[in-house]
Formats: sequence, structure tokens, C-alpha cells
Amino acid sequence: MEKIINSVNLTKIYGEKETSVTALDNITIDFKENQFTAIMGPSGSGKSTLLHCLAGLDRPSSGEIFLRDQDISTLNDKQLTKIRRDSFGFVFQAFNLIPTLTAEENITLPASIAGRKPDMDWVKTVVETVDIGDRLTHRPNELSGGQQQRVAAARAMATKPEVIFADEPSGNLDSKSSKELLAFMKSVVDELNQTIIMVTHDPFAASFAQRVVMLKDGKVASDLNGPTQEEIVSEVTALTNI
Amino acid sequence: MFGFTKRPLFLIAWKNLKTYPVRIFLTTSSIILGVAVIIASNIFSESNKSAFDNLFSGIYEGVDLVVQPIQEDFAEGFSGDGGQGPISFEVKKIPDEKINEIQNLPSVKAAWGEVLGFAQFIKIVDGETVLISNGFAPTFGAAWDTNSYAQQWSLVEGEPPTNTKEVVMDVVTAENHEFSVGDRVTVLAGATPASFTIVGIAEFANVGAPGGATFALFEFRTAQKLLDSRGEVDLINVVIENNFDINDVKNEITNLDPENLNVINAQEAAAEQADSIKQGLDFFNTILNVFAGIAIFVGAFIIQNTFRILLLQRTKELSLLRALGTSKRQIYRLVISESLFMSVIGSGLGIALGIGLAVAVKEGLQYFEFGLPDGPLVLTTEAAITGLIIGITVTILSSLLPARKASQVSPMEAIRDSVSTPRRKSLFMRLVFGSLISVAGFGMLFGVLYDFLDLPTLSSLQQVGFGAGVIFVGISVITPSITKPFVFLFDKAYNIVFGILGKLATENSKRTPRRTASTASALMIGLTLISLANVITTSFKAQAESLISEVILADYQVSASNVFVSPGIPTGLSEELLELDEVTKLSRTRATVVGYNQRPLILGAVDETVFDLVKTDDISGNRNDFLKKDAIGILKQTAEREELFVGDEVVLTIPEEGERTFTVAYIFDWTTQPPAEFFVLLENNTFFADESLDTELYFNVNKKTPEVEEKINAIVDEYPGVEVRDEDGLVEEANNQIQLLLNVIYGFLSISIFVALFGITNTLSLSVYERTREIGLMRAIGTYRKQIRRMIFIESSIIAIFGAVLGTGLGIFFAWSLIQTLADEGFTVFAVSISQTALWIGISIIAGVIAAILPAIRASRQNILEAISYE
Repeated sequence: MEKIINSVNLTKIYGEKETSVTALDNITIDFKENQFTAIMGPSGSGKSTLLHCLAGLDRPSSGEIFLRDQDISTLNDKQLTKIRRDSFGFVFQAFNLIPTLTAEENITLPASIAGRKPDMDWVKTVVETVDIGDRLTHRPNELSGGQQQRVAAARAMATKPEVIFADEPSGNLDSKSSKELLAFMKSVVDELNQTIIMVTHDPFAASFAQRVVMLKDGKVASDLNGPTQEEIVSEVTALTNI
Repeated sequence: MFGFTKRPLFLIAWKNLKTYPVRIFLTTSSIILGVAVIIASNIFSESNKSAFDNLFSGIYEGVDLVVQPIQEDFAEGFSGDGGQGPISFEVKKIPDEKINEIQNLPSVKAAWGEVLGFAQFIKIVDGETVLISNGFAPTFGAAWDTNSYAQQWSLVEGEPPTNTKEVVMDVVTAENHEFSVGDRVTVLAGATPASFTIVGIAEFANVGAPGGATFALFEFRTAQKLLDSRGEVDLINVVIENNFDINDVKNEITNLDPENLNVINAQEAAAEQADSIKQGLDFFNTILNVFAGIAIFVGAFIIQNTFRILLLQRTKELSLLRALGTSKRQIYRLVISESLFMSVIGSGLGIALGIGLAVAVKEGLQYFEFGLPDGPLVLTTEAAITGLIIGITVTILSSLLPARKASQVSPMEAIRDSVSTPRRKSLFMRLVFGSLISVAGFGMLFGVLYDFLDLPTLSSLQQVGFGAGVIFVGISVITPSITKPFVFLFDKAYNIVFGILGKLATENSKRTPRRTASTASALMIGLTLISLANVITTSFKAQAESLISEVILADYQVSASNVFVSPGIPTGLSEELLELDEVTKLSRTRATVVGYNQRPLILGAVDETVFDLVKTDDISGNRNDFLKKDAIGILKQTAEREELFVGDEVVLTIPEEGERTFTVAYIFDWTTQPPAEFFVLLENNTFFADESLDTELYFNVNKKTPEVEEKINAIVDEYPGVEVRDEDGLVEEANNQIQLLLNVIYGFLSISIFVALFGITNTLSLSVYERTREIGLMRAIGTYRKQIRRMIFIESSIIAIFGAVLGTGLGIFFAWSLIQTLADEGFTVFAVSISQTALWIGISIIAGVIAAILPAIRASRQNILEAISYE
């Protein structure tokens, strides 16, 4: 498998001088195409910061980020916005949808703001996969939390992005909805050849991923390939106890 | 270490304001403006009043008594300064010898005569003759006082005039038009212009020139000759000997010729003259105050809106206070005390701005040479207190409802996350109430127009106005409930033109219909008034146009170019025009003041041809009889008023002619502005022959070609102060006058639009604040900053269009009702200027976009991570 996005000596420091905090400490890491990766770690380990930097939402203090060999860490706001729009998809923990737009309008929003006609065949496929076909004309406040997250996931995929970034996507869901969403995310990687990088603190959620990267104090602590939920739990426990 | 205060809420209120000065500005911006206009208009009129007081007491500086001629009874009401104006009538003057008689009284130290009349400086610029005047201010000629007690005029440089070829110019005219001692200048006095040498530049009572008037000062005898006062003076100034009582001297002088001399105390005369001018200024002040009132009314809307917005943003803080055990009542008081602080600061700033505004207006007027007397700016304590009270009252009243609402905040809000969206109440009741109010208004209004309802004690015009006011209130109540349907109207268009951004913007304005509506309402007020003024004046213009083409049958009309400054048309002009082969028919009109039933009345003299050149309607009698000797024609209205009928005898007192008896031969309607009330034929009445001036000329030509026009212009150009116009010219002139008025009204009403802008800015700021997460999300998934800004601009344009369209619609409707009501007064034309209407809607949209600049920039710079992170 080809690497699709990678960081080289990525460092992120918040604040100035005495009050500064190193969130990411010289991280060099590759992410493979067509893979479901979970990033885990205790609070303050820098997992969200890593995701934000990779996704072009935050800027590294030093080091580079490459998207298919293009250095995106030096781009200006406009260029970065275009990359987010055309090459990335996003699922956040909450508030994923514009309340005034219907589910369908939300799904096609990235294409709309790009002024493009969405690929309707692809959108149809995505909508079928996430099983929200009957809710398309509804507004977010008429959807359940699980349905809202599935619409968000559909939105993230609608432009056939290079990478989908998910930040605690199941964090606000009950266990049933959570399981459905994660199963769906796994299936889009397996069946629709997508790439997902997900931040989570939940070992159950991480167990859906093919690879689990553990961070601690801004550094990669371990990198597990296809771990079971038990393996993840023991690794997390080990990390927290050190 | 720990501070303790007995009034913690007062402290919080104060700290809040200290921490957020921008809030004070946003909230009180409209009050600042409103108070500023009140203060400025007050300062302006007070300062002018005091300046005029100074000026007039300056005129009589050192003078104890003023001797005026007693006018014939019928001329009462015409003050004794005659000689100007379109109608030249005889005013009694005082013969020269009276000066000596008065001077010879032992009680009199000095006496000198004054001569005042019309005279105008003329300069030649690039071969064109230019009449010099300052706006509508008069142009005077006067005699230079040689008496050592005379103090009105003092030379700034040069010498006094000593012969018939010399003139002294007032210093303001000299400076403005770059004349200096030694220059030649042409002066138009009486019928013919003549050339003079400027021998001196003089200043009037230390103020330059009074009230913007220009002055040409001649040697005494020359002035008498030029100003139609040979051997006479207009009044005599008297200085009395120290050891005599002023009242005794007054009686002594009166007794010299009690039938002809009126002696008054100089200071009384000053006060009297100043008062009459001050009344005019009071009217101006009233108009300014009306506009200030409109600005404040709009301001009240905006303050209420802004308060609501600011309090919503502080829901958490207030809710925390509630959670900590603050009572609802205390929250209410907290908000009211904040508004009290703000209102005091806002009104204070308003007063300061008002002073600045007054200075600016004064400088502006001076720049345009619209001379008003110089003097210090006066801010009366009363004006300052009035401004303060209005500002504070309006602000606090406007904050009552928002404060009530804020006090209802639940203590739970503090614990909840997410920005709270306002509770949605049904807009249905609003629709019902608003409709009921509007229906009542429409009932009152249409009741007049279709004669089914007549409210007692109100005139039909008042009832229409009242009805319009009620409709306005009703519509204001309805607006929130029609926001959605209104926005729906251009949903589609916006989606097509602006794509998803248009969709988002329209959806957003529908999301908070109340806020959208109240923001739009502020703009609606201004636009209602503007389009009302616009339609009324457009209709006026159309009316004038149709009227002029209907009633002026002549190809050309000649008249004085400015009736305020020029006396009329020298009679030589009509003779010269008649010499042209191309002129086929010409009629002169002259006028003089005569006495009828002990009252003054204008008697006009016309040529027979006038009936072919001006449209007149026969009422009774015969036009041919009017041509007979001793026949008189009377205007319809005058005949009705005086109860005169054909065959009646009319006795007129004619100056220098005595009583003459005429027989009413013809009663008719003169369809334009009539030049007189009684008419006689010019050739039958010799006493008109001596007149050197015509009031108007009408004439036809055999063919209206550019060559003919050139010939006519060549003749007319030799007579300064006289203008020739064809129908187009007359229409244009009427239009110009109306447009000037309209522009002034527009200028003042723009203030209300300006105030409404702040409202839009505030509303959008809140809208952006409430959508922090939404905007952050849009940015995260790839929306450009530019697109975010555009979205806010589109949203703003929706509010602006909403307000502008509603306002324009209402304004046009109100104008239509008004014109319908005035139909009986001869008002028949209703015309809407599409271009002007479109222009103002366009201006509103642009204004809306300008108002959106700050919120748009703020929205586009929002930090994405802060917006999407969930803590």
C-alpha cells in the first residue's frame, strides 16, 4: 500500500516561553492509502492536535506534512482551504451539519461551495451505504444523533476525498448507533476504497481500525497493526500506568 | 484585599461598560446622532438669533431715535423698505428738508437721512454678465453717511464716495468676488446699469455685510438719484442732546408733522426687526427638530434591538448571576442601570457631536457664501438639558422590554453548552394584531378617499395622515410574520445567482424573523419618508409640467431672473423685441399697488394680446367690454371674495393719481400664478405709462428656430437680471425649484438611513456570533474566507431589500392617498419616478452591504479550531 499522507519531524508548540506546551514533539509518521487508522492516547497526548495539523486545520510550529508528496504545511489559507474542500473529508464529534440545510444539501455542501455539480451516482452509493435514503429531505433537528453522524460521514465521502478525518465521531452516540457508524466507516474503507484517520479514546471504536497509533506526551508510543480490542485495552492501560 | 460593595449590581453594570466600550458605541450610536441633530439645530438657531440681535442693535449703534414716514393706510403691512420685489409700488418717503428741520431743533445733536433701495453689482466673467448675489439674500444700494455720528459703515480701506462716478463696496462682496479699490464695477440700479469706480471697501457694524446682503454705497445725491429717491430719504436717524429726555424729543419731532412722521426708539426698532427675522429662523429650527425626531424614533428601534442582541450574547453571564442567587428583579435593575450609564454617555457624546455639527454647518454655509451674520456659537443650558433628557428617556424606555426579557433567563443556561437560540413564539398573534391595526388604519384612510367614514374633529387631511400613521404601526407589528413569505419570494433568485451561499443567507434571515424584521423596520421608516417625499415631488413636477404647457400659450416668457433681488424688466426690452420682424405678438404686464376698501391690492395692466398668450377662462362679462375706457377686469377668486359682479363700480386709490372709478366689465380666471387681482388695459391708463418696469412679457414668434432664439437672447442679454424662457425653460425652472427642496429633504432623511445602518451592523454581528460553530464548520470543510464574507453580505442585502421595499411601498401608497385627498385643491397628477425609487432602493442595498463589512470580516477571520472543538 502506498503512503498517502505523512509528517516529517512535526512539532507543535502552544504558547510562548515559560508558559509554552509542546503538543507534538518531532513526530514522523506515514499513513497508508485505503486503510482505517485510529489515533489513540490519553488526554493531552496530542492526538487531536496531530489530526488538526494533518487535516490542515492547524499549522505546525515546525516540520512538514506531505499529501502525496506535496508539502501542505507551507500553503496559505486559501490554498489550504481548497485542499480541505477537495481532498479531505471531515466528521466531528458534534455539530457536523448546517441546521438550515436538509440532509441532502448538507451532503453535497462541499461540492456546492466549490461550485461543482456533485457526482450523483457516487452520492447515491454513499447514501445507500449509510442507510439514510429516507431522511434526505429532513433537516438536522429532525434526525437522531446517529442519523446526524451518518449524514456527516456521507458528507465527508461525497467528494471522493483522499483522506477522511474523523474526530471522536462516535463520542456522542449510544452504543448501538456507535457500533452502526463504526461498522459503516469500516465498510467504506473495505468496499469503497476510502482512507480514514480517526481520533478516539475509546478502545472499542479503535478496534474497528486496521492500525492503531498510540501517542503519549506528543510522541508516538506504539504502533499496532490489526490489534484486537483486548490488545488495545492492555496497551492503553500500560501507557496510562507508566 | 477583597472589595466589598453594598451595590454589587451597580458595580457589575459599570464594570461591564468599562470593559466593553464598543458596546456603548453600538448601542448609543443612534442616540448620539439624534441628540446631535437636536443640539446642532438649536445652537444654530440660537447663535443666529443672537447674531441678528447684535446686528440690528449694531445698525442703530449711537442712534437714539428713528424717524419713519407714515405710509398710506392701504399700504399697511408693507414695511417701509419698498422698492424691491417684482411689483414696483410707491412708498412714501420723507422730503429732504425735514432733515434740516429736525437738525435745527435745540434738543437734537445730529440728524441724517438714509436712502436704501435695490442695486446690484455685475461682473463680466469670460464675456458673460454675472449678477452678484449671495443665495436669496437681497442686494442693496444705499447712501454713504457723512455725518460724524453715523456709525453703521466704516471704511476698511480707501475713501468715501464723493461724486456720481464713485461707489464703496461692502467688504464681503469685495473679498468673495476679488474687487479692490481702484477697480471699475458695473452696478444695476433702477432700470439701467452704469459703471463706477470703487473708491473704498467698507464694513457694516463690524460684521462685514448683514445677512448675506450685498451693498453698493453711493454719495448721498447720487444714491437719491439712482435709488428713485430724488429729494427724499427713507428714514432719518436722530441723536439727541444729552440733557434732554428721549420721550420729549420724540414728541417734539412727531409734532413737526404728525401726519407724516412716525418716530420710534432706535432700540425698539432694532428689536422689532430682529424679531421678524428670528421668526423665520424658528420655522427652520422646527423643521430641523422634526428630522431629529425621526432620527431618534429610528434610534429607539435600534437601541431596543441592540440591547436584545447584547443581552442574548451575555445569556451565560446573566444566567450565572441567577444561579448564584441574583433575583429576576435584580437582573432587571442591572440592565436598566447599564442603559442609564449608556444613555448619559451617549447623550453627552451627542451634545459634543452636535456642537461639532453646528460648527461644520456654519463653516459650510460660509463656504457657499450663504452669509449669515457672524458671531459666537451659543449653546443654551436649556438646549443641552433638553438633549440630555431626550437621549436618556429614549434609551431607558427602549431598554425596558429587553431588560424584562433578560431577567427571564433560566439559571440552567449557564450550565448548558451551545449558544442558545431564542425561544420561538408563534408569530400568528402578531399577524392578527398587526392586521387589525392596519385594517383600522386603512379604514380611516379610505374612509376619506371613498367618503364612507368621517372622523369628527379631524380634517380630511389629518384623518388621512392619522390613518397612515396607524397603518405604519400595524405593518411594523406584522413585519416579523411576513419575513418568511417575503424572503421566500426571492429564495429562488438568490439560489440561482449566489448558489449555496444565497441559500444559506436566505435561510438565515428566515431563522430569526423578528430580528430580521425589526432591523429592516429601522430602514423602512427612512425609506417610507423618502419615497413619500419623492412621489409627492415627482407628482408636483408632473403637475407643473402639464399645467405650464396648458396655460402658457406664448412661445416665450420674459421675467426677472430672481424675484428676490431684481425689480423687474426695463420697458426698453419690449420695444426692442417688437422691432424684431420675427416677433408676431407681444404682451406686457405691469403692476402697481393701489388702495381698495382701505386695503392694498395689486392692480395689473396688460395688453390686449395677453388673452392670446396666456390661458384665461371666461367666468362672466365680456372680454370686449374690458377693452373700453374705465373698464376693469377682476380675477374670479377676488370677485367672489369682494362680492363684485359685472356692472359694479369699483373705486381705487392710485398713488399720485388719487381716486378713480372703474366699471367691472369682465370676470375671468387667470390659470397660472396671476400677476395681479384687478386688471386694466395698459393703453387706456396713462398712469402706468410712467412706470419704467414691466413685470412680465409674453410673446410669440413666426418660427421657433435657433437663429431666432439667438436674436432674442442677444437682446435680452443686454438687460442684466432679466431672463427669457420658453416652455421647456419654464418647466425646467419649476423642476429645479422642486428638486432643490427635495434634495434638502433627502439630506435630512439620509440621517435616518445612516442610523439604520448601525442596526444592521449590530444584527449581523449577533447573527455571526450565534453561528460561530456553523461558520467554523463551513471553513473546516473548505469554504473560503471570501465566501463567508459574501454570505454575510448577501444576508445583509436581504434585510436591506426587505426594509427598502416595504418602506418604498408604504411611502408610495401614502403619497397616493395624500394626492387623492388633495384632489379638490387641484391636485390631479400622481406620478412615481421609477429611477429615483430604484436609486433609493439601490442606495439602501449598498448601505446594507457597507453595514455588513465589519461583521463579515469578523466572521471570515473566525478561528476554525475554536469553533469546532468540543470542550
